[in-house]
Formats: sequence, C-alpha cells, structure tokens
Amino acid sequence: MALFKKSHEKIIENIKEEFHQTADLIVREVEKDDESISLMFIDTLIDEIKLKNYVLEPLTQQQKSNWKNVILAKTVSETESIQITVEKMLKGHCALISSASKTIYLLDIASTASRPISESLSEQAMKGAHDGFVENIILNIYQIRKRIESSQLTVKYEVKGEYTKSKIAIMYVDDLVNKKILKEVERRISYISADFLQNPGSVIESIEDSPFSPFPQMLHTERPDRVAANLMDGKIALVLDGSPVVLILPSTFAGFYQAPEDYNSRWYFSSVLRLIRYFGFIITLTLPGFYIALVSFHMELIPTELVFSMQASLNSVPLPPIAEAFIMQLVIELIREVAIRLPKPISSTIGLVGAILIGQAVVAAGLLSNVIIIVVSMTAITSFAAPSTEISNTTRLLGFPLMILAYLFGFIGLTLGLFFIIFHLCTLRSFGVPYFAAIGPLRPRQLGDIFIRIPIWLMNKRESIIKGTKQLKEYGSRSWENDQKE
Amino acid sequence: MIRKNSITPIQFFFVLLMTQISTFMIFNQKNVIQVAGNTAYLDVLIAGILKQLIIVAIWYSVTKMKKEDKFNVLNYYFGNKIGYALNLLYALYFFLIIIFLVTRFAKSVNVINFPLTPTWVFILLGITIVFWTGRFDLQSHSYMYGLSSFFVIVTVFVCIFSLGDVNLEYLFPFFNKGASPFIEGIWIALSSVIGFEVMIYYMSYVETDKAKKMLTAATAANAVVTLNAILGTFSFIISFHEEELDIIHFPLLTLAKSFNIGIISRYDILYFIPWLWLVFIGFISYSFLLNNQVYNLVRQKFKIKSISWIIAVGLFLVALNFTNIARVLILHNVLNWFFVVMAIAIPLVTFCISLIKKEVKTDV
Repeated sequence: MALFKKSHEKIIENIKEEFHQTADLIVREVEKDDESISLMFIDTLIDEIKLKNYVLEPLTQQQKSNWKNVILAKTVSETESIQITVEKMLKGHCALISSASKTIYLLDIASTASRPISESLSEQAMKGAHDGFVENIILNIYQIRKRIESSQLTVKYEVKGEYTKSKIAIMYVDDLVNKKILKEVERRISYISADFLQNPGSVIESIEDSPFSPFPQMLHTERPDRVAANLMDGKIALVLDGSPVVLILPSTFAGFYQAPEDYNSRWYFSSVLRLIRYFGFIITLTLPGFYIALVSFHMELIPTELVFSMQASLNSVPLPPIAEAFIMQLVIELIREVAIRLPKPISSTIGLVGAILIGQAVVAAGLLSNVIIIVVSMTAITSFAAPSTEISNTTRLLGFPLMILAYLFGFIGLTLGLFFIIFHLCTLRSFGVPYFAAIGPLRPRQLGDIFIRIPIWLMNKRESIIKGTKQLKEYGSRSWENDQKE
Repeated sequence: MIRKNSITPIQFFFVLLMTQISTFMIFNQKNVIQVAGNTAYLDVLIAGILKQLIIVAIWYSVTKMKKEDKFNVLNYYFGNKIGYALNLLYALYFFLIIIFLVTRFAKSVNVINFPLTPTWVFILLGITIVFWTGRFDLQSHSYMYGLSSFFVIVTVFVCIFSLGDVNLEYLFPFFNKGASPFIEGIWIALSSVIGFEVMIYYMSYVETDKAKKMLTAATAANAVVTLNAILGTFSFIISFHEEELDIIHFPLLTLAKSFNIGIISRYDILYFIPWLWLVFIGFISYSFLLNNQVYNLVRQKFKIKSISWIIAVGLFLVALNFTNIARVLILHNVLNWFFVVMAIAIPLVTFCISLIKKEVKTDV
C-alpha cells in the first residue's frame, strides 16, 4: 500500500507538472477507510452539477470501498498513462486517482455549455425551418440526426490542431455517398497539421482543390435543413467543434444559388427566383464594366435620344468613367463593411446616410455622374440576390478586373475577362467533381434544378455528377393519380 | 495518354464543332461568294461532303489501330522516324494556324474598334489566351466548347433574322460565274472551314467502346458546321450585292446592323461579343493541340507549364512579323497549301496505309 501511495502522489505531481501548475486545475482529496482518492479536473471545463451529482455525492455517501460501481458519469475509462489522462482532462474529464491502485479512472463530466439553438442571421428564410447551427458540435450533429433518422447516417471524428485539438466530424449517408470522394476527403483531412485550427476557413484552405481560385469550392451553411438535403444527395458534411458553420462538399457553382426555401414555395415562384439570382450574378459581374465600355468606347450603341442626356451628365464630371466607377464601388464596399461592424440600429442609419446623402451630394457637386450612381446602386442591390455570401463576395470582387479591362479595351476587354472567368469555372474541380456541372459538363436532366426548380416529384434522380451508389430518390409520390383513375 | 484528358463522344462532337466554327468565323466566308458567285452555297455543300470523306478516312485509320497505340497514330503507320517528322510538321501547322488566327483577330479588332492602338497589343491579348488555356486538360476544354455552342445558336439567329430584309434577285441568274469559278469555289470553301483535321489527334482521347459513336459525333459536327456555313453563305448572297461584298469587311457583323429594336442602336457592336468569343475558342483548341504536340515531341522531358511559356513567347515573337494585312495574306496563302498537306494528303495517305497494314486488332 505504501508503494502505491508513493506512486499516487507522484501521479498527481506529474499531472500538475503537465499542466504547468495552472490555476484552474483542481485537486480534491476524499478519504475512504484506509484509501485516499484524489479527484483532478480542470474547473473551467467540467459541469459542476455533473461533478456533484455523478461523482462527489455517490463517492462520499457510499460506505463500502467498491466506489467504482456507484459512479454515475456517462463514460468511465481506465488508464495508467499520464498523457491520456491529460488529454481526457482537457476534454472535461475528471481523473480519479486512488492510493490503492495504479489505475487512473477517467469520468466524463464535461460541460456542454452552449448558446441555445437559434436561427442563423446570415441565412434567414421566410418559409422553412428556423433552427440554425451553434458552436457546439454535439448539438449540431443532433440537429442533423433529428432530420435523418437513419442508421446509414455515419459520423467519423478527426482531431486536428496541435494545441487546439479541434474535433472535425465527417458526416455522410453511407449508402448514398461516393466512396471515392469520401476516401479523398479523409485523405486530405489526415494531412492537416497545424497548431491552431478553430474556424472553417483553415480547413477549407487546407483541403480545397484550387487554393488560388476566387471561387468558393465548398458550401458554407448554418442551416441544418440545407445540410440534411445535401447529405441526402450523397454529399459529405464537415462539422467543426466551436463553429456554427458546416461545410458541404463536393460543391458546384449552381449549389451556391440554391436556397432551402426554394423547395418550400410553389415551383413557378422558386423558378423565377432562381432566374433572378442568376440575373443578379450577371449584373453584379458585368454592369459596371459594361457601363465603362459603353461610355468610353461604344457610345454609338445607345440610341440618339439617350446619348445627349448621358453625354450632358458625363460632360460636367471631371473624372474618367473608370475612376467614377471605382470610387463609387469602393464607397459601397466601405458602407457595407461599416454596416456589418456597427450595431443594427446604427448600421441602417449609416446605410441610409451613405446611400442617399453621399449619392445625392456627389452628383450635385458635379463630382460623379448620376448614371454611375444608378449603375453602382443596381450592382450593390443585385449582389445581395445570391443566397451565399461567399459567391456574392467573389462576384463583386471579379467586377473590379472586368472594369479595368473594359476601360482599356471596351467590349473586347469585357469579353476577354468573361472568357477567362468562364474558362476558369470550367477548369475548377471540387474533390474531383466538375465545379461548373451541370452547365459545363452539360447535364440536361439536372438543369431542372439549376436555372429553374421543377416540381420535386420530377426530380427523381440524384446528381449524377456525384456518382453515388443510389441514383433514384423519388419513387412515384404522385402515382396515386393513376390509382384513382383505375 | 499524357494527362487525364479522356472525353465522351458528345464532348468530342463539341470539340470538333467549335474548332471548325471558330476558324470559320475568322476565315472570311465572303471569299467563296466572290469567286464562285451566287451558287457559292452549293460549293459549301460539296466541300462539306468532301470533308466527310476525309473524316471517314481519318476515323478508319485511327480505329483500325490497337487501343494502346492510339496516341501515336502517325508513328504507328509511318514508323518512328517519319512519324516523328510528321508530328513535328503538325506542330508547325498548329503553330502557324494560331499565328494566323491571332493576327487576323488583332487586325479585325484594329479595323472595327481600335484603329489607333498598336496591333501588337491585341496580339498579346490573343497570345495570353493561348498561353493560359493550353496547359489545362481536355475535359475542361470540352466543357468550355459545350457552353460556347450557345453562341453558334446566336450566329444562326443573326443569319435567319437577316433573311427578312433580302433581295432574292441576287440568286439569279443561276451559276452566274460559270463552271470553272464554281469548282475553284469548292476548294476555297473547303480550306475556309478548317479544323476537322484535328480529329486525327482528338480521337485518341475519346473514351468509348463503340468506335461508331466517334464517327457519328464527327459526322454530326460536320453536318452542323456545313449547314451553318451554307446558311451564312446563303444569307450573304441574298443580302449583299457582289460589289457590296467587296467593300464589306465583316458581312456577319454588317447583317447584325440591320436589327433595330429601339433601346440599342447598333446590334453589330453587341454581336461583336459572341463573334469574339467564338474566335477565342479557336485559340484554345489549337493551343491545346500545340502544347501537347510539343510536350510529346520533347519526349515529355519538360513540364507542360514550361512548354506553354516557351510556346507563348515564340508565338508572340513570330506574330509580331505579321502585323500588316499584306503579310497576313501571305500567311493565309502558305496555310492554304499547308492545309492540303496536313488536312487532306496526310490523312488520305494514312488511310491508304491502314488499308494495306495487316496488324489489325480493332473494335470497329
């Protein structure tokens, strides 16, 4: 016993040393008969109620020495390794060290403190579910599991980050996922090696196909219904502990223009909305460049009646069209950035002041033409039509080089810029899947859920580009019509 | 196969279609009318039929080979030394075609929009496309061709709409220039829709167990191109008098001018965008072939990215010598003869050898 007692004290000392005598490391001694039991835990990581109810009370109230049987913690594991003990304590476990044994008992009493499930602010929907992901991985997986009650839904954990030990959950539906893509995802994740890994950005930049492309290659979402729908299409979700953003992969360009509420509205209306979003994409990307090309080189395109009023507006402006457009675009970007950082009531005021007062003032002062105000305002408004902020940011960003090309070479420059962008989209891959599918490569059957949204019962097949194991997803929900006729 | 480049027969159709359409856009179709007169559309039709015969010959030669030899068609039939020389000749041919396409593009842009800007600026723009796109895989290229085929529909739309403002008297008298110019017109029509000869290389990349699918794709591409060319030629004949054609540089752009809906005054300027797009497509098709051809010729000792740098610099330096229209015309004449060798003579000789050669393991 004396020998064990000596090792018991040594273990406690070793653990303390591993933690560098941190102040939130608590050691609590409980004496039972001739046995001394030490409880060690990180105060800031455990749930105090669990500690009291599941460990301390059973331990102190139990008279006999078989205390191991009365512990109520969710999981109890045994080890003799200091390293494992330290790792588990960092996950909110309580280490129980007895003077009568060399074994260390590890009890899971981790705190699950998290903000309650609430609607995502960046992906609000008029129609449809209003729950969103939070910073707790367990709660996030729970929200997905609640939507897909199938034993095929599989979760694999990976722990990455030398210091942060961040948990990444790889989620997929086993009989729908393409195993090759899954293997590739796991392979790339296995290569992640960094000290710090806490936000999705680090994961994305480590595993995406083309890190220098301006286009997002993984879909970000804070909506469990969106994740569930994508998982049911054979895609893979990456859930990160500490982040309310879930990544969906592989992703295609069209996926960024599909919103969950498209499937909750009448399909005619959803189709019109889809077309409007793509129209918004084209306008955001090309309108400033088109305007610059028009007024710099191709005035003859404008009907004579309009030319005079446009020319009159432009004549009083001392700046070239490119400078006008750049200044206004930068002002809009600044207002947007400021509005995000400020509290909501002030941000809307700043937005109004920026949009109306500055716009009116610069035109009145003759610094900019009123046409450029219309052009830039339209560009700013249409950029918000995209359901994903990533694609919206990319589109706005790409508008700038197009403006420069349009200023240098008119429509030739604009065409050249667009040619490069479209070709780049054709070369992009997301985990081997063509990013521009079903447009390039053309998949006519899938176009029904790209530019428009056909009735759900007609979308009876999964995306063929994913090449999952099960293609059919709709088995005749409207076959009751035929039965009725008979 | 040197890179992951396999394409489906449908993608092969788009590759052939767009390569031919893009060269058709830059090789001026009005030349056929100027030579053959008001029956030029029949010349285009006959040229299409002749082209089909060469397509069948190429298809037969390639599909008769063993699958593993598909990427060395010329080496297989001519032996390693002659095959290497012929491949080198094709590389030179692709190089000259790119030079011609880029310089024609630069001169056209000069004439239409930027008369004061030095031509080398537009040559540089063209070469930038050639340089950047040549290094990517054929799958990405084929997606681009598929997408860009939309602009072929736009071109057809422009031609059909122009038929509302025509003079059918221009069609008569029939054969207004006689038999000899008619025959000469066939040759001009054939040499102005080049691009089908690239199938000798592109066929190797098609992944299919059924060789007939490749022939169907190539035939369909030829049919669409020929119909398009007939429609274009016919539209020009009935829209412009022969003397008008002498002074009109770009008949298709002039046709686009005839639209007037109100909000836009000059549709030809807007139509310039799809026209340019189709021209750029021609750059990328030949750029891919040239990069891969050189990559194979240097026995894959250099990376494709390094090769595309060297090719781009070479193209730019050579293209600088063709900044005036007289030199571009000389290049055009050289290419006409080169075309006879590369697109007609070599495929037909290869076909003849393939008929004689006995080692046959085929899936035809």
